[in-house]
Amino acid sequence: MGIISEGLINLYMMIFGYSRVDSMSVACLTVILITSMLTAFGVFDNLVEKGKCGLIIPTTGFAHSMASATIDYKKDGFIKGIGSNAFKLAGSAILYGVVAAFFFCILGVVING
Amino acid sequence: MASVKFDNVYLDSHFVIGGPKEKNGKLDNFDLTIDDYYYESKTVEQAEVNMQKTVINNLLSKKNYQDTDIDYLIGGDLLNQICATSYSARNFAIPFIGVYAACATFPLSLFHGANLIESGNAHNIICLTSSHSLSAERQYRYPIEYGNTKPNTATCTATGAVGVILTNQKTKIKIKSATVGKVIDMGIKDVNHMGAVMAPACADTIYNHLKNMNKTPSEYDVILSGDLGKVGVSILKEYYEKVYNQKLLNVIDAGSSIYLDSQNMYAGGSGPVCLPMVLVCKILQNPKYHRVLIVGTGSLHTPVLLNQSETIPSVAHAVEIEVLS
Repeated sequence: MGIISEGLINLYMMIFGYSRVDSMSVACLTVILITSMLTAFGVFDNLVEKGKCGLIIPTTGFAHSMASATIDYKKDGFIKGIGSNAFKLAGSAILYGVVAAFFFCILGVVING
Repeated sequence: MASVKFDNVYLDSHFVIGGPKEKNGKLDNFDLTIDDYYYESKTVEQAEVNMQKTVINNLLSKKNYQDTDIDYLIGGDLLNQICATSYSARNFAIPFIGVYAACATFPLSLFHGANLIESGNAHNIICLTSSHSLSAERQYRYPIEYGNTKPNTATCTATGAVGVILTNQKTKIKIKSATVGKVIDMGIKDVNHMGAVMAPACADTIYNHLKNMNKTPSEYDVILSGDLGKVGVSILKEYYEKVYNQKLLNVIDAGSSIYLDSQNMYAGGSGPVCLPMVLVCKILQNPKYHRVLIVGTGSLHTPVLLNQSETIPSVAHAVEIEVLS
């Protein structure tokens, strides 16, 4: 997955003339889109069985867990189904990611000034 | 005394539905196989309800019975509040007893049914169970489309539904005795290693059954364990030899007898449907098996208590079946 993303980053830099940072964001979005679509087509879980953790760490894993939970709870309705269950698997990673980012940001400001 | 003997209980007709992967596996002789996990319904839970409805309808039409000819419907499944069985039972005017023993539901419903018939309070009883790999996946693990890696000790829930009619009219298959097991907890928390969780309960029930019935393991042509999986059945043999000093040579595990190695199903199948499916499609079809002991093994866990760091309790129930020649 890393190799594909690196390839995408270089490709975007070459074609669209993005800076490396911009290109990384766009590559990240592309990977999320591809993962979500493959999940929707029911292909991604079979690929994970073969590719194992190489395929699901980290961005694709988030996209895949959210897409699969959303598909799963579609029948339960928008509020009680999709809304409350979309972050069922990815929720803790996002919550603690935000909390950790907050504290590390303060720590960074304190140390670097 | 946890063992009960029966003199007048027979197994009449049966109906088995197998799912797509079961169809391509080792077993044949299904009454019906389905290619679609959704089985003409919108959700997998409704598909499981539909499978059970088809089983009951076919059991009734096989014998030309009306709802009123059946005294009780006894059954259960893996879903919350055994909802699949309750929702299929609402379509029939048959008094309903819901039982839950996870994957040991089938022998437990046979036990209840046999008791009712033996006491003379019932003549015909339908015992029913089902499981669905996708609805169980949603219930116990992750969303259906979520792909994650599993260790080789993990088992996969089988898809299917099985119903049998118990009766007091003599047929070729006799229910001779049954033993209800104790709940045993060895302190294991690993949901991907159900074989290890359930093997001690299975060993305990087999030992108690043999002790109460005054028999040795070799007096049975086959001891069919529920869904221990390939790893669990080797644990059972080793554990039984160490703790009870007896060798279990004639054990076949139902969970390991459903799928081909090429299907990549880890340690094999699990779910309440495994045991009756293999019993009906394999053991009862083979004329060399006359004295059969089926031991359903159930892991009685719930994701809620597991998340609260609880361990997994397990139970096993045994039913002795004799095929009369």
